Amino acid sequence: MTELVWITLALPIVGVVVLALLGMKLPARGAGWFASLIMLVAFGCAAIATILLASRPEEERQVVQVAWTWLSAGNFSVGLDLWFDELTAVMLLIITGVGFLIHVYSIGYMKDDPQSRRFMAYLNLFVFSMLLLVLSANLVLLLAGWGLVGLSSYLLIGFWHNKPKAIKAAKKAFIMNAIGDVGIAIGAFLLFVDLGTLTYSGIFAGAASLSETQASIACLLLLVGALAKSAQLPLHTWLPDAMEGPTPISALIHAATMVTAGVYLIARFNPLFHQAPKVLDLIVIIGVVGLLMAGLIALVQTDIKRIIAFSTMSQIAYMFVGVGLMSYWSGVFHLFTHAFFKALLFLGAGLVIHALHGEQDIRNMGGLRKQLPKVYFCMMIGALALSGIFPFSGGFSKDAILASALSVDTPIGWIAYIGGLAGALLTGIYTFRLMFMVFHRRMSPYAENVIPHSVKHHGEGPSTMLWPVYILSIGAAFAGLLQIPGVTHVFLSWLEPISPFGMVEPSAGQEWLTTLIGTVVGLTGIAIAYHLYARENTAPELIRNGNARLIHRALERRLYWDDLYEWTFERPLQWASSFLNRDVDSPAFRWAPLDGLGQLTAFFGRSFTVIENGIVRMYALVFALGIGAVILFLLVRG
Amino acid sequence: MGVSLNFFLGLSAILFSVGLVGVLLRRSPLTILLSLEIMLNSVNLTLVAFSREVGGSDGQVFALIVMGIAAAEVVVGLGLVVAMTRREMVLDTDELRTLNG
Amino acid sequence: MGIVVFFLAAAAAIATAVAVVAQRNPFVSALALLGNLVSLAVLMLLLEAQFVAIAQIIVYAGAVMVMFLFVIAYVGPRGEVGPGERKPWQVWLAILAGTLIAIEVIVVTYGATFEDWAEIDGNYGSPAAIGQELVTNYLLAFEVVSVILFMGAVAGVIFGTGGRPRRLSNDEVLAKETESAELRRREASRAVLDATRESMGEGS
Repeated sequence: MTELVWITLALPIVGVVVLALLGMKLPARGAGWFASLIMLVAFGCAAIATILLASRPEEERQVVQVAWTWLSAGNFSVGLDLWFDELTAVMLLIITGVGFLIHVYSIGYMKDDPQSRRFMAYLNLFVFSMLLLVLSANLVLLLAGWGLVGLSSYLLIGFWHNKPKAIKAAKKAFIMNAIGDVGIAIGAFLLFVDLGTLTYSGIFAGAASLSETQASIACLLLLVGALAKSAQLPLHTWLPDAMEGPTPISALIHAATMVTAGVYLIARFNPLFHQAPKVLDLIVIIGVVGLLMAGLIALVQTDIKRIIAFSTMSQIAYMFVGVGLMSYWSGVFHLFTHAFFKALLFLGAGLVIHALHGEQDIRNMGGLRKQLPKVYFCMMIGALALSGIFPFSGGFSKDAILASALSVDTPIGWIAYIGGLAGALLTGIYTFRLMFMVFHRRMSPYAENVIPHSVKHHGEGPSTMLWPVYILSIGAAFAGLLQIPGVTHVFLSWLEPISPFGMVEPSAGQEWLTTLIGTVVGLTGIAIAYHLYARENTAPELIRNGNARLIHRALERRLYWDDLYEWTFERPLQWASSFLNRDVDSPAFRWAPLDGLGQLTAFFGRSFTVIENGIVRMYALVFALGIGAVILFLLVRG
Repeated sequence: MGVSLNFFLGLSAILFSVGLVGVLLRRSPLTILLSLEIMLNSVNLTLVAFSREVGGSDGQVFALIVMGIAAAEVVVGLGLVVAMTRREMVLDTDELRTLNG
Repeated sequence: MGIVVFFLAAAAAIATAVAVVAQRNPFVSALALLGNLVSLAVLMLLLEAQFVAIAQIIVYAGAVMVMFLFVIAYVGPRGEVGPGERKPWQVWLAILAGTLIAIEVIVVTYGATFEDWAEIDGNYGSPAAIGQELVTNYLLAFEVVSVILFMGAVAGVIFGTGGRPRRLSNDEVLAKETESAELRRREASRAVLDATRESMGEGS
């Protein structure tokens, strides 16, 4: 079983090496299929490993394997250890499974890009980093994976490096993530000082011996990393900008896998977070505020991908609420279903953008229902799942989180419950605003111009792009059935062993009640969206007439977070550096003694260039004379 | 045998120096390669002489290996000369100044 | 007898080595090196190293030198390079380095005392003895040399054939033509000048 896990981890890096070395020698399509095949095999290995894991008795499902010692200094040593348990298995299946579908999709998406091989190599690199992140059994290796996913995300956001906006977005994502990396690194230092070990088993065993303050500080530092990676408040501003990257990247990295790493981190370190209940409460609060804020901002965005990006942020906030309430299974369950329906929505959006020749503004779409019926159908499944309507997957998982909040029955739990339901209303509105604006109402002049031609030539898209969407819609529709309240509880019983202190488990009655309320709220949201957007886009008029213009403006500016960071960090830094440059540095170095020092160095440098004449013979002569001199010295010295 | 080892070593030193001077003074890559051969051969002579003095055959094996390496070196050197000729460059090592710092 | 052979061979080796270095014509240099190799082979025979001596003649004098001669013939008169802008101090320093090293080594070896030549049997230096060593104790070195030779061969082929002379652009062809025309003109005028000088010399 462990061999299979090793193979799963090794395959993508093999892909990277092969693609990077062979590069242009491979045909572009061949490179795409090669990378996809690697992912398929990796998925197969992961699936078999999971089945083998499931066939073990529950106590033996936690496998730690040390390959070799990586670093060693004094009594500190870090090995290349793998940790394979139920949570890892879920993550492995999501990463390799969704990863495979998105690889296939990318073949079609990148068909006309001359650099598609580089893209495929980056994709494989990302998958490797992500697998390393979830498989590592100590904090150092986790940090390595954490940094590597940041790097591959940077490379992929900035994939079209002739697009200045993409480069800027890539840098922003990287810097934001670096803040998180620093948080985790310092957290790791602190844990090492407190516990003398960095392996998960050591940390979990020693967690109980920590005082609440120690545990809280360590957890807060880990939380910084989780917030940055998962684009939660207040480190969320990079995610919407990251949509400048190619759409498969948005689906894989910025929806299904990488951004959920923060949720994984908290779920993984649950024994540690258990010692810091205040931090858990903080996570819930951040989650509730984040899901409401992201939902509100998503209401007014006009870029199709940004709407989905904000909805991702909002859904991850739900997962944070779930894990913050110590209902780890529901957070991970939502992570699981979210991977399907959010990847589906992104890939569908990619097809729409593809059909419209790169147009991303939903105001320039409309009426595509008849032209792109298959895409419409699939995205409708994704939208219903996202809005949490009952039989679809998102409904089960979101309601599991909310029902957990209900069963906790503390002030925090009630805040989470009410906030979550309000968020569900917003979700219904913004999701179906997108659906109605894109697929219903009258077709915009732009779409009228472009669509008939593109449908005539390409249909709805190449089959490599359509099939992943079909498969994902099956997942988005039915993945929730793993966990029907009172009927099946596959997910809950599978994940139960990962938390030694138990989890919050709502009763079936609480779940059904929440499902009912959630569905009603979601449908209300859809109805509002229908009223506002289905025939005509009436919202602008409402805003113009009412006095909501200020709020609208604030939401459009994404509640001024970017401006805040610009004015607190970016501008002061620019002022300071330009002041130092103009008024300190330049005058100082024009001051005669300092300048003379430089001139002197340059003078010596120039004088010695004479012997650097490039004549090999002269070099050999000096060499021979040197040998003669050395022997002479030895002789004379006796 | 009336000759002592010292004579062989002295001869080898003289040959080595002659080759060295050739390498240092000549500018034609062909002549430089020939001079290098002299240097290598003088060392071979030393190896064989020491080997005879000790009575083992290690030194001789070493001399054979040096010959093999010398052959490889000549191939590369002559390949360079041919390449320079084909590119219509002047056969003068002083003209190859890209090492110039 | 040994002494006479040694000094004859040593004198020949030094003379041919000096000839290699001093000759302007690489063809003559190569032939001189041939003589140098043969005299070294004689010295090795004197040291009872039959196999190395024969290998010296067959491999070096035979194969390597033939390759040299081919290349020299291919290169033709380009192989000769005039003294150019050589400065006298370079010459002196080079000779100084050479003599310094030679004298130092001679001083060291002259002062050293060596044991007598070892007692050897008839098998010493025979192909069988050397071959035994090569395939037992020195197998790795032997194989490494074969790999290096192979790489050398590949490199030689790449250097020798890879760089086709690049096609000159029209401008460059023009420049080249005018250059050679200029050279020819200069050569012709120098010939005329020489001729007049000669005739003037005869005249005076």
